[in-house]
Amino acid sequence: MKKILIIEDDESVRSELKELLSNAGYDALILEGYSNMLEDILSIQPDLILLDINIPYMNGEMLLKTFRKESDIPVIMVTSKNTEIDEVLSMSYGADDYITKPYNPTILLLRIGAVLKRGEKNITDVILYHDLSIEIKKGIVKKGEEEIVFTKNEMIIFLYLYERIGSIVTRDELMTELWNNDEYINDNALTVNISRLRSKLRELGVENAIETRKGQGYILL
Amino acid sequence: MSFGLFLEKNIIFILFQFALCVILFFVFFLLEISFVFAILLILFILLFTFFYLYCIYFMKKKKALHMIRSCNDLEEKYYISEMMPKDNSIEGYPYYYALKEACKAMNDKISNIEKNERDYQEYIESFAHEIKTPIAALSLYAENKRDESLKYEIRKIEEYVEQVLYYARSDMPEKDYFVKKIKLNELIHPLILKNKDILLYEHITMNVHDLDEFVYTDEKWLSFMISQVLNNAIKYLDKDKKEIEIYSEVHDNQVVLVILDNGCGIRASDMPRIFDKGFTGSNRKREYATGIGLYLVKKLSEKLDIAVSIDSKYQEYTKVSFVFPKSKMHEEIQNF
Repeated sequence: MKKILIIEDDESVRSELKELLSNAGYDALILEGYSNMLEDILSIQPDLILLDINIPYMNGEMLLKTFRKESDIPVIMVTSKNTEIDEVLSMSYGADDYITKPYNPTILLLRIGAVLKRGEKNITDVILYHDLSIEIKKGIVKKGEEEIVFTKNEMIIFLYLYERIGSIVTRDELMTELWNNDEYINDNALTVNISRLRSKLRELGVENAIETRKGQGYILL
Repeated sequence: MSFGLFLEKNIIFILFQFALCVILFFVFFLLEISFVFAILLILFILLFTFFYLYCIYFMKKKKALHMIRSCNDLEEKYYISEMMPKDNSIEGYPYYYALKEACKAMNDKISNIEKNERDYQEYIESFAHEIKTPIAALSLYAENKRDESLKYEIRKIEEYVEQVLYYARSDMPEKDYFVKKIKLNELIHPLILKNKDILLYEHITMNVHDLDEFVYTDEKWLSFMISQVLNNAIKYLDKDKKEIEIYSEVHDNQVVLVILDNGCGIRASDMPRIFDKGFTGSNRKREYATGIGLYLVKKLSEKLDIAVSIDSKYQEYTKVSFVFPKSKMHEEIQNF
């Protein structure tokens, strides 16, 4: 589980943020006390830091500047001021992204996901699922000699489920993932895409690959 | 300010000269001095008087014209008191004094008002920034609790706060202005994502295509302008099949970004006033219309050198176009 450290002085924001991140499957921690932040951060060793610019004692930008000398853990700066100066300054001090309040939770999660993914870079072209091999870029699914084509939407949905294989994925998450890939489809289209994906997998001999959990979402088995 | 008028003003002096001539004439007559000599002398005096008056007139006119010209040349007219030469003459000084004092009083008042306005603007901006933290907390809370109606209300609050902030800043966008190369797709995408919940909730079909063009402008301001238009589009959709289409077109030297909706449209009679401050339309849903959105869009577009035009057919569609100049210079830089 990815560890995300929240540095934010508003109590309601940080507790809600912690809940949001926990619900999204992250291990969210709140930095308590601002006296020796640098040492605290380094001892926690998070995978990502959400840093508010307006923190007590030390300005967030200054913290970032000194922190960057020690570590290259990704940092997303959070601020309520949307002025260019703040943004340019933060980025030049080594922030990986910059988000202005009031953040839309969906966008916040997407940005966090994007920054974390940037660090990984192990995007494979071919993935294996049961006895199928899936060529992501070509959109082709092979089983021996048999071949079937996934549409772009079907591929996005399948990959998202595949990355979370065995755990429940909500319709809203799928929708966000599709929209984030410039596929602004509606509710009905999502249902249609999922049932088409199911029947394609069935054709290739994988029965009941995607299970529906009523009121919760889908799960890839 | 003709010479005639000037003579009229100096009538007493002229009459006095004439009287002097008459007296001189009598004196010469009594002293039995030659008649011709007397006439010559009197003519000389009259000519001298006339010449003297003309010189005075000429100098005064020159001074007056100089003053008028320097006033006309001034952009801020109330600085004239700083520019004018000191006039110590008995008729000039009171005016000089009065104008100097009046301008000083006015300058003090103006700087006072400017300071108040600046303070007020700073306060509004800091208010808008401060309130974003509680709004952020609320919106996270709504997301965590999956409270859709709370989310809906927060969306409205956010929109109002954004408007306040940009309204306060709209007189001086150059204070916070950073031109960069922006791909339209990358600008539109987050705006659509931000509105994902309401778009899905309202079953709005988004048809987004051909957004690979680049424009050169300030991302934040443009993004605000587009979101105002997008909010309007969402707000005024009224058909069963709700559609918003966003795309760009390239004409000779222009990139045109189009946001087209099949909503209730704008009455032809309302069209001339849609950009007016406070205008909310005669037949539109009044609910949460401030009459500020399009006003700000127009105002900012002028400052950012983007042309905004709206074309609409009542009850059929509204089409908003943002026209960006496609400067040749940028192309050359790109090709370089």
